Amino acid sequence: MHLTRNHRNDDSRHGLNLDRAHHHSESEDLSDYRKHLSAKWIVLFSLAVILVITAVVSASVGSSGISPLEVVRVLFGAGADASRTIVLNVRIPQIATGIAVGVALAMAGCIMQNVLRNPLASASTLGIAQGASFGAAVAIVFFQAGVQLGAASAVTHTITSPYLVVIFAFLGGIATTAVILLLARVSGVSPTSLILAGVALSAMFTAGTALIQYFADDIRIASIVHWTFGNLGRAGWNEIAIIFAFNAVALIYFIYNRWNYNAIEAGNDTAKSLGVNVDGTVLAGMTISTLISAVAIAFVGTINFIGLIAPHIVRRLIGNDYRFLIPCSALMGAIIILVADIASRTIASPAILPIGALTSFMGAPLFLYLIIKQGKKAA
Amino acid sequence: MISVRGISHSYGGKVVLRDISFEAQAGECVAILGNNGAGKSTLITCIGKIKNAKSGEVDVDGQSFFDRTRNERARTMSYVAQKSEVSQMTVMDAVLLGRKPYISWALSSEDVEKCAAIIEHMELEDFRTRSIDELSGGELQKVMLARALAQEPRVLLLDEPTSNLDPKNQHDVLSFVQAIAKHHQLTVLIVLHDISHALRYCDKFLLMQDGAVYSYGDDSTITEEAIFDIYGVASSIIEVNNRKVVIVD
Repeated sequence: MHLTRNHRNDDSRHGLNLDRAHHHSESEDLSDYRKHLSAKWIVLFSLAVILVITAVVSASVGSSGISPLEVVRVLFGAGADASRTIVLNVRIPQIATGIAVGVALAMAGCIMQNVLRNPLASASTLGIAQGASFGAAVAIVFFQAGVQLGAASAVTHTITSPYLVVIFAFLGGIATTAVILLLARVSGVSPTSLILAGVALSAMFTAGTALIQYFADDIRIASIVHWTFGNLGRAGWNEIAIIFAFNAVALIYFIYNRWNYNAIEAGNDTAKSLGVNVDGTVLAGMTISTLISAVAIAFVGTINFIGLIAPHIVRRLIGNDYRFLIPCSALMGAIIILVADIASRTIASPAILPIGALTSFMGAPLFLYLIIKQGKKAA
Repeated sequence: MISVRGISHSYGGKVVLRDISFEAQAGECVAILGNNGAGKSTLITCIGKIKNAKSGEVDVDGQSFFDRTRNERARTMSYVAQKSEVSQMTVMDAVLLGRKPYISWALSSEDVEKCAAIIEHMELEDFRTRSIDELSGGELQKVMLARALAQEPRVLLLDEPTSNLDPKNQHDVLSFVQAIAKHHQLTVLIVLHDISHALRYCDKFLLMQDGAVYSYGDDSTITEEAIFDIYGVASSIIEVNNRKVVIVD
């Protein structure tokens, strides 16, 4: 079958008139389509600009009172020495961590929501984040993957074997993913029940992490407790590079499969009829999403709801077009985490609030909203 | 032309399709009829390899369909599910999905033009930037059909495409399918419940009972006796305006 405008049907008796004069020329179609696409490009570039602005603001917020202009000067190689030290050694690593973690969690949430056909899915709502946290805690307490630097403060607790922590976090996360996939694919539970399963798994792993504390010394307990709140200041350049490397590979893979995710939006059977290897796409998507979430969580602790919120905000702007949804979600995840970080450093200044608690505060109402919306849709 | 030979399928030991064989020519609309649970939907999903049949073969234009690659299959047959999943996606994007089997990296201008032509054919131009989750049942079904046509298939598989539509939209969709089958020499396999609709819009009739073929052929296949055997109801077949209509007694 070849459909072009020259192949018109002359059966005008039918309800759909196939023989009417066409209004659009082919060049008009293309320009219409480009217009349609350009709106999405504008969203993508706008998010990139907002991220840069947020990052500069974030670098200037804090007790030492460096202005955004001073931050820009430092970035271009000028500025006072004191500002340079603070911006380059403290603020920039923290911002880089925030961006890396936000990108990882948001991309993972975006793909999980697609392949599980579940708008409530994300690493934290499915219990994958908690599984990864548990795995990382096991590595630190039982396999000496982390060691304290003298003082009995959790902040000075550093990860000495990042690879071991990543491996254990991934194992914890993938164990949860395996249960979720079995429930979703084999038992065919409803999307809402899947989230309930996530609640159960999350409770189990949180309890497991609490139990580990009984076997840990004071410093490690402090570290684990501190970790459950999430902390962007914990990761060094080594860890940041690891998160970025995993993100880069995941981004390439996800972008390569963007049409498959678009097709899955039309339902699994329709996706199969469009030539998609649905089972393979689901399995690979969940595994890679779990991996990038686990890597991020291993280094900064639990930061909830970024993966849930970011893709939903972007969907409101550009719809479910994964060509744009994946990169836009990544940028939105980074923006949200930096905004949360700014808030955590300014709300009760000079005290720094735990960022994980703030993202949960921001995300939980949206989560409830999505549940209500899901309920209405089901009704 | 499609040739279906010996398709059988079972779920957990329960046989749902038994040795189904039939042939249909290009340009023919084949109605698949049968009571609930007769295996109609399973049959078209097995023919399209959306489900893997336990045994059997399908040839399209003389070549094995099952042996082709995923993309080759998607360029040969397209499928519209009984119930479409709707998401926040514009009509244009939903129709462009039909070009997926042809995309190597990005959409070509040819892909865009073909989809625009189909959208225009189906009078969906006014909706092209609307999200499909805001459309009525009839509009949505047209979009799904447009997406399936964008695949430029040789065979179109439709699973109860009119089940949620009002009479006007039922007529619109079925007459469009009939016209497009003739004009583009497509073979259409269409699961229907309404026998009068089948008689009006289709050329051949595959009657199914308990997962097996009861009879297959032209409209002489549809008899009061066959309707009683399959659906368990007495009926009369009358002619109105030179069309056969089935009235359940």
